[in-house]
Amino acid sequence: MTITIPEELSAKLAALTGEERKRRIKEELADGEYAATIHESILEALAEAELANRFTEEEDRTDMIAAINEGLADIESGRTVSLEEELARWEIMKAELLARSRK
Amino acid sequence: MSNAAEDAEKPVIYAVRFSERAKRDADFVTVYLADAVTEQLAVKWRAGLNKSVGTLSLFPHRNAIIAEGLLFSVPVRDLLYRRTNESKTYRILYHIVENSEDGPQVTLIHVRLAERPPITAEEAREIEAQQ
Repeated sequence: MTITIPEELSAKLAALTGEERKRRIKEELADGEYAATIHESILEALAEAELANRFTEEEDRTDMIAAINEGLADIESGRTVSLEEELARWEIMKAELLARSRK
Repeated sequence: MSNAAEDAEKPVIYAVRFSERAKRDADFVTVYLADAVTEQLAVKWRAGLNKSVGTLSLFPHRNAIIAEGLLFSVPVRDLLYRRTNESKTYRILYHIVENSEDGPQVTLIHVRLAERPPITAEEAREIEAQQ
C-alpha cells in the first residue's frame, strides 16, 4: 500500500517511533489538518507492522511451535469452548470496547 | 430419492471450538488493535475473524496441513484471514477430529500474524514458469 502524504508530515513521522508515532498520528487525525489524507488504515498498517516485527524469522517459528503445542495441550485437557460460547463472550467484550470508544 | 441417499449427499457439519490458547490469541490482537488503532477497527477485525472461523464448520479439509506439521502428533491446518486487501494476514491454526464423542469437530489451536503473506497470482505464475 502506498499513500502520499505531505512532505512536512512525512518528515515528522519519520522522526518518531512506536507509541509516540501512533500518538502523534492520532493527534493529527483528531486535529483534522491531515484527516483527509491519513486514515485508520495507516494506523492499522503501523500497528500490524510492529506486531510482525516482534520476532526474527527463527524466533517466529519457535514461538509458533510453542503456541501450537500449548493449544494442542488445551485440547487434550478439554480446555475448549464452543463457537457459540465464544461468540456470546465476544458480544460482551465488543460492548465494552465500543463503550470505551465513546468515552 | 431415499433418505439414505439424501443423507449421503448432505455435507458433514463440523462443530467449531476454540482452545484457551486460541481465545487468548484472538483477544490479544483485538485489544492490541483497539489500543493501537481504534476500538471500531478492533471490532471489525474480530467480527471478520469470527466469520472466517465459522466457515470451518463446512469442508475444513479444504485448507492444507501446515509445513511444520510433522513436528506435531496430529495434523494441523491453517486458514488464512485478512480483514482487507491492505491488512496483514493472520493464520488460524486448527485441528480436525472426525469421530469425537460429540461428532465431527474442528478446534482452533492458535491465531497468529503470518510472517509472510500468501503468494500473489503474479508470484504463482513465476513459480509455474520456473517449473
